[in-house]
Amino acid sequence: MIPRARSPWRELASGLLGAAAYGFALGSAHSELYAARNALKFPLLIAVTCMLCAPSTWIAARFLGVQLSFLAVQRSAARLFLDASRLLGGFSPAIFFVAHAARAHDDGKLGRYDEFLALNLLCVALAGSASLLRQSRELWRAQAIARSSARRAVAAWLAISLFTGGQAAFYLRPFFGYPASRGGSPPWFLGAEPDRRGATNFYEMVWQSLERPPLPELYRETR
Amino acid sequence: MGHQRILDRAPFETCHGFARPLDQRLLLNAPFVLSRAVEVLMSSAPVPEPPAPRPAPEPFSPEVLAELWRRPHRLYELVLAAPDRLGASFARSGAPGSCLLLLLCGAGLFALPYGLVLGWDSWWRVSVLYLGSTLICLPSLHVCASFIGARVSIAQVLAIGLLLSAAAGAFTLGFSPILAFLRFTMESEATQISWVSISNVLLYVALGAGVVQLWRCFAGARGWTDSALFALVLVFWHGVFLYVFLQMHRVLELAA
Repeated sequence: MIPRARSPWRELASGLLGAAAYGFALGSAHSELYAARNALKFPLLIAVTCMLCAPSTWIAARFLGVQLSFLAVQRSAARLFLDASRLLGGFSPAIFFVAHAARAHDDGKLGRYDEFLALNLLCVALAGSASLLRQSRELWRAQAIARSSARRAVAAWLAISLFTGGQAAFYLRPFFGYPASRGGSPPWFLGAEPDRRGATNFYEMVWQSLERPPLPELYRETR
Repeated sequence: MGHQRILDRAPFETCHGFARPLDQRLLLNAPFVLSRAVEVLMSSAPVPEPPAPRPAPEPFSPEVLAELWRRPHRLYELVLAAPDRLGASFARSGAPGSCLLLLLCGAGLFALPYGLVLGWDSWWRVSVLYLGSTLICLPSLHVCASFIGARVSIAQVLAIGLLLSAAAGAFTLGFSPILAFLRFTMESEATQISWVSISNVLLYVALGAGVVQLWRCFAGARGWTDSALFALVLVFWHGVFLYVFLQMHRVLELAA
């Protein structure tokens, strides 16, 4: 476990720095432009998700028997993200190295995009699970909340955050990018622009990944 | 010595009147021997004390309810935090008027921001969706409960119905910034999943939370009425309520 920072401001700063470092490492698989932008976009993603979910996390906490004030709930919910960000920040040198190694040998088309995506999904899942476990333990021990209530509340916070953060991440795209899309001047945010399968939001993307419809004609011959 | 004692008491099986060899007998009686061994070992261990019964929930005092009128932003305490205490209040004092009025305010006001996110001219629709569906269905709950002989007053029926609406409304209040963000970031003419579809899902999630809160309140109201019968009526009533809710959803054009 990472030791807790001394003050909330330090905790916030270290979490945002971790997110920025991870974003930078992630984007460097594509280009320096993506890396620099991701260093800002990743902390922004976390901040936006935290703010949007603030009322619903509190209501969910009260509903599930966590008797904490609005601010205390926000602190606990934000720690979920900050802990995960610090853990991801710890992974960032390794991700940076892998990104550069992949970039040095890619074919300029798809490269090792899928492999890199899978690795990052694994890192995010690991960091998310660890911070989830830690936060439920903290609620149970430090705040003297029943273990079952603490677990349910933290799981609800995670579900709400994923539901909202997924769309925020979709809107703030691109984070990765195919090697084939290097050069030019890509926009900061793709917003509701359709992806390769035509999904215009996160929920459509999830739906399509379950349904697996064929790619549009335009992209079929690139595979 | 102990083992020998256990084995001596084991009922030896016989096959066609002849005693079996000792190892075979041991194998056949292994479950019995093991259970006896556990019994002997456990008899010397201290018996764990049964868990203490949960204390009955305290009803809300009139002072607490009066305090909520002075601090209406703490209405959440009444609606979300202690449904069992609310149930105890209904059971003991038969749903006081101030409590009903507070729940009515909650049910009406909490859902307004969500309605505003749906559209400036739709500010009233979500409140009407929950409150209207509940009020339309409450007479059926009261009549059915009276029919089976459950002693439930109109005020008590009204209280649990209003709690459902207020809890669902509270959840929509929490969802309103999320929906505003989704509306801002999603294409209105999305082909598969639009922000309106997501909004409908959120409205149903809020309804589910309201139903859960109703049952928690009911569980807290020990000795209120003939619990088993009234629970059965409530289950059937949920079916009626859901149907009316769906119709109301359609009438208010929230699905479009």
